[in-house]
Amino acid sequence: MSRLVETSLTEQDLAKYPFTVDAAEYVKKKFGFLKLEEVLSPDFKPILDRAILRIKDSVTLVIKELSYQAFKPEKIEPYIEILSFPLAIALLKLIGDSYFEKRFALFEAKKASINLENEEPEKIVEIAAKNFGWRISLADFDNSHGELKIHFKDYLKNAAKIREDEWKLINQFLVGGEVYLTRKKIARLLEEEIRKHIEAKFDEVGKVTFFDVLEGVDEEVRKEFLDEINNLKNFLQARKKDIAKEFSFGDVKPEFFPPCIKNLYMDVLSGKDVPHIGRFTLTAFLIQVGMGIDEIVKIYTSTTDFDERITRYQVEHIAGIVGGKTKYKPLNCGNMKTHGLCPGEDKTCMKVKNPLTYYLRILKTSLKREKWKQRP
Amino acid sequence: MEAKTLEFLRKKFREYYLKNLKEISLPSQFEKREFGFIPFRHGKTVMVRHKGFKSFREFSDFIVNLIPSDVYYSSAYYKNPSEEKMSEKGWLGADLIFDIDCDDIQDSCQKSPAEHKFWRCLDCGETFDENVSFCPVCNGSRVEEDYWLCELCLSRAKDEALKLFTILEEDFGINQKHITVVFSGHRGYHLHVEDEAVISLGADERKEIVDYIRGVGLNFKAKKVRRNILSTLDISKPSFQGRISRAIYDLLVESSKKLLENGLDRKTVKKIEEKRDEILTWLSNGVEEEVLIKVLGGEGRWIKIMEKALAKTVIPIDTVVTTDIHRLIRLPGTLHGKTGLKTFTIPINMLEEFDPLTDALAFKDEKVKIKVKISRMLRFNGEIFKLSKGEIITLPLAAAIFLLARGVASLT
Repeated sequence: MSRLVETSLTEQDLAKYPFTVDAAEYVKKKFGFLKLEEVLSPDFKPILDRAILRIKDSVTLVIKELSYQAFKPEKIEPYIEILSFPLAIALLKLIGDSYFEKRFALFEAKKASINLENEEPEKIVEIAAKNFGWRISLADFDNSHGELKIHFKDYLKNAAKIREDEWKLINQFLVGGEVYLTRKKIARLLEEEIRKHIEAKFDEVGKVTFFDVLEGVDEEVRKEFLDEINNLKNFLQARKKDIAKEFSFGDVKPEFFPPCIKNLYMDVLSGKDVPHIGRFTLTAFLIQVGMGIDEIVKIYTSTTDFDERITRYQVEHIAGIVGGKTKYKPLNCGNMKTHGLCPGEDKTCMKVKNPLTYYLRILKTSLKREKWKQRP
Repeated sequence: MEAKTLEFLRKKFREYYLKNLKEISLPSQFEKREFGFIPFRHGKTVMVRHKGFKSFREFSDFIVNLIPSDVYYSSAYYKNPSEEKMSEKGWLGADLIFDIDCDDIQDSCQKSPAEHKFWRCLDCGETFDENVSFCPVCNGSRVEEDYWLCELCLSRAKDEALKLFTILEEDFGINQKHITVVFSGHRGYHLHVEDEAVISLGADERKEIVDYIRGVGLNFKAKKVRRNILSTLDISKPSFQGRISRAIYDLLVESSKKLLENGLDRKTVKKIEEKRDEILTWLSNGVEEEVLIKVLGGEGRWIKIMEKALAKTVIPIDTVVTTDIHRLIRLPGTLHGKTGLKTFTIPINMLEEFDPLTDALAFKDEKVKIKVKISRMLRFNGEIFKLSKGEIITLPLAAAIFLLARGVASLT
């Protein structure tokens, strides 16, 4: 990746795209290498507050309801917006729950993507080339295929994961190794790239413990900070429970799911990319155990390529309401292993050949136990 | 295969390798590649793989020592190519490989399916021109089907390779010098792309390239997609836009009788007949689809025509070879154990006139007397031989080795 010294990005742009190398340079230039004492000083309070709010937003705002208007950096001092981003990452690292890291990465990426959709093409080119090494430039044809073109490698690396037909390479205008796209589509691809980039940032930082961070910090400051963190932690935990509750449903008992389905279920809820075959088997499972279509569709709202109309159709297809009218069953254990979806067997797994049987078996045992408890 | 034949083939392969080591060109960054070899032996073929070499000398010593019937190398680059466990090899990337095999072509060949095959008794080794459920010679019931080389299919495969070469250049912008076209030594052509841009692509991404080339998932029915990829129909445009326009042109220029045979309905054909000259002129000068839809009297008819044309532009590449990022592929300059032909890198300017049964021969000069076990025509190095089962015939070495290696002849 070549690091250009010059940038056309303004302070306001950096506030919109705080994950960029330019934003990092800006922080370095303006503040040098920050020590924790400084960050915890009263001068920095607005930044700490903003960082905490960012994190809270990532678990409270509904992603598909975000709009460009909701994120006017003019409302807030750009430097606060810029600095609060790395600080938020550090705070999340302290909290140490990868569920929140993923939510944060997804949320920040979506936010940036919404802004990018309306950005000048030149600016999009600069951000994509400089930060992600994309081979991207302004389209030289007439604009009928979009304002921008990117190398097919950069296209495939981000679009191959998006499942809609419209994103297949064959449905693109491809000439001389370059895919011609609209700003809106480029912004969607960049969202993938930004999400991966932020997730990688969490990995780069490594594990951070309170002990490392707070060594040598003044007692009072230390206490204040720990309180802030604890409050945030409690908020997040409560929110996680709420989210789980939002997704708990009538008589279906997620605690009885076999390990494979539990994994898929949690992955989908946390917005992780789950391969098609995994989604298929999870959906088929949930239908078979009696979850409603609406509830199943809701589960998929966190996924990056969520499109309610398509998801609903797919769920209905698996439920046998549309299409071939077959009510599908989840893959059996052998196939789950082939596709790398089996995380390893527990005791009950040894006795079954299909995840569904696992669930029904545990359910039966528990019902028997309940009955036994309630015997006269 | 008789021990005598096996020994003879091994001896000839040995002579070839001793004389022609220079012909083998190791792939780029060969120290990072895995190599695999099939030794000459009876019964089941077992590959010796996970071999890594630090120098050409080390490699050539190995070949001369083993005298393998077939040699492969990995399209992938590894940190530790000789590790046996995939997870410990340390995958660094892989060339993009395409395989065009006669298998995927013969369905549309004008020769009958039986001409593409022969049958062999696994018990006594007898071969037959026709399918038999049990061997009339030894009464054994283990009869297996094998391929018989079809020159028409081979020639079609070459045309497809040329088409693919153009797509890689025009659509994917790959520089000529990064594409190698290789005759496999038997029934197909391989294209190797060694371009920095493709090396890091994963299996999912390669799958998208496969679908693009095979024409899978193209959503003609969606107007939005069509408007994007086919804003104008113009035979002079590059890549897909021009390719499909030319295919439509080629389709519509045909007689009405042919159009009906091609599956277009009467009404559509009548509309085409009325306006054929205009349509062809439009396609030559550039036209928007609305104009054509109007003339044809319906979007459905237009989509049907495009679908027919698309079928002519797609290439039947093997889906597994391209998406497999750990693939072992034949090494150019080595011999194919089932034919004795060379796996041959074809210079691009030679591709059009390349004739595998003349240009990829490894053995020359000598003649050998053999007993043939099959009745077929065989053309080698421009000479045509009429083989009839049971006959003892003296053939040029390359042709004799071909028949021996295919298991349809024995030494006298």
